[in-house]
Amino acid sequence: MISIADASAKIGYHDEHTDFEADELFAFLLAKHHRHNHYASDAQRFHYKMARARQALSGICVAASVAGLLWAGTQIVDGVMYRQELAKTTELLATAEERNNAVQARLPQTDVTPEDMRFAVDAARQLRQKRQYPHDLLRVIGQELQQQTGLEIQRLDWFASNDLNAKVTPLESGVSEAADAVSYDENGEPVTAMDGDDDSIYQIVIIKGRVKPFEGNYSSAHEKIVDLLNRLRSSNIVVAEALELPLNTATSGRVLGSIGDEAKDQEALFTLRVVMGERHG
Amino acid sequence: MANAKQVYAELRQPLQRAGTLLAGLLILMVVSGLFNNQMNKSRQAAEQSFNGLVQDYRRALQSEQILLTETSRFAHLQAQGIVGPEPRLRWVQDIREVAQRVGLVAINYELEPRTPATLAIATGSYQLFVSLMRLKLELRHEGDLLRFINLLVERQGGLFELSACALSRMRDDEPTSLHASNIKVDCELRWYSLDSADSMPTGDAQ
Repeated sequence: MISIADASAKIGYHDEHTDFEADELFAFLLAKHHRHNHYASDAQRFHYKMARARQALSGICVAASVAGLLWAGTQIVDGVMYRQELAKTTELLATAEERNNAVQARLPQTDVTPEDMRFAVDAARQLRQKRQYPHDLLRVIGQELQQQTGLEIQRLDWFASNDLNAKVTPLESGVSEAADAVSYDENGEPVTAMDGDDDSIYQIVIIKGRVKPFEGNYSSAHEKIVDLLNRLRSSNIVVAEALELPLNTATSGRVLGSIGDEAKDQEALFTLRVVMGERHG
Repeated sequence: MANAKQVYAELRQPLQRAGTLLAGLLILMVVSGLFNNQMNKSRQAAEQSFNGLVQDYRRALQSEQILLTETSRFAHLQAQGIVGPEPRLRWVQDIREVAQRVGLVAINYELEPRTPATLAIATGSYQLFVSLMRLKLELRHEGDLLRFINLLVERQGGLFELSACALSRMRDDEPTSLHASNIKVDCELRWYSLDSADSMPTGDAQ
């Protein structure tokens, strides 16, 4: 038997304020040799880790196999479907080739391609359609002039134009509308270079004449001209206007004249513009 | 190092099995992918050939239809001189004969060299040409001009367009004469023709 104090000294327990009871010694011994943790060490867990790694590998293999087989399956199914479509298309191709050969064989050989033939025929048709002749307009003017005596026509300029407001005949301007610039769209097709999309063609007549007989009565002369214009407007005429009247009564113009015997020598000249075409608006 | 060897020893067989499996899978995927791709390409090529052939077939049918409907019209245009070289001799002859028939007192004509026309009309591989003709006529009556135009149109010696005409009195204060010129007319005609684009004006006599 040894005393608790000896035992304490032996195990290295020193405490001045203790009575050296056995509980303290046990607690000291337990505290002296305590473990850092209660888990297994890496070495002890090696086989366990390997088992988990094999499981993970198996899982990956299964997942990859499923995904790969699914993908390969869809590819094969698609491929088989494509092959079936290919077979059908090949069959159709043979039929189409046969029909095409038959049509090509019965097509006559021509110097001009059918497309160019069609273009030529269409172009000629369009040119014919766009042609204008003065018959109708001159007839209307002639008829109305017969109704309105006292007006003598000295010159008559007829021309066709896309411009409703054109006042100068190509014969005077020397510019032919055929020479207008033409732009082309992205398909190489010509695009008419006109204002707006109106491709109407108007027949225009500039009438130069005089009031005859004229004895200096401008009021009467104007009445005759206005009457003619009103008659023309009631026909299928788009515009009938006076460009010049015997006496320029516009507030912006200058009025010249004389009253007396000299008035008899004066001429009552006028210029009218008459337009025939489709009425718009 | 020892640890690595141990790990390798433990996992060698499963790794080999997984590798074999994945390699097999990869081969299967590659083969199936190639099969699909090949079939798809073949199908697309066949469809493309089919579509091309169908287009050829349709074009041939259209050509056949055009030939059926337009050949005679086209031949007529060629005969009229609207397609091909300009029949200038015929134009001039027509003008002279028509003037004679109408009984024009005098006629003067001037035909300019043909130039490419810039009208907004699709002409395919053809080029639209225009030749400007200036006419100076002396008439007894304005109705003669209308008759002159009518007869010229009826002759169908070509495709022309009357672009402008100016009529003016020749005798200002004198009475109208039945046997002499009373009206002077200046007209501008444009003769149209379709020809190959490289057939620019030449000095060939016709």
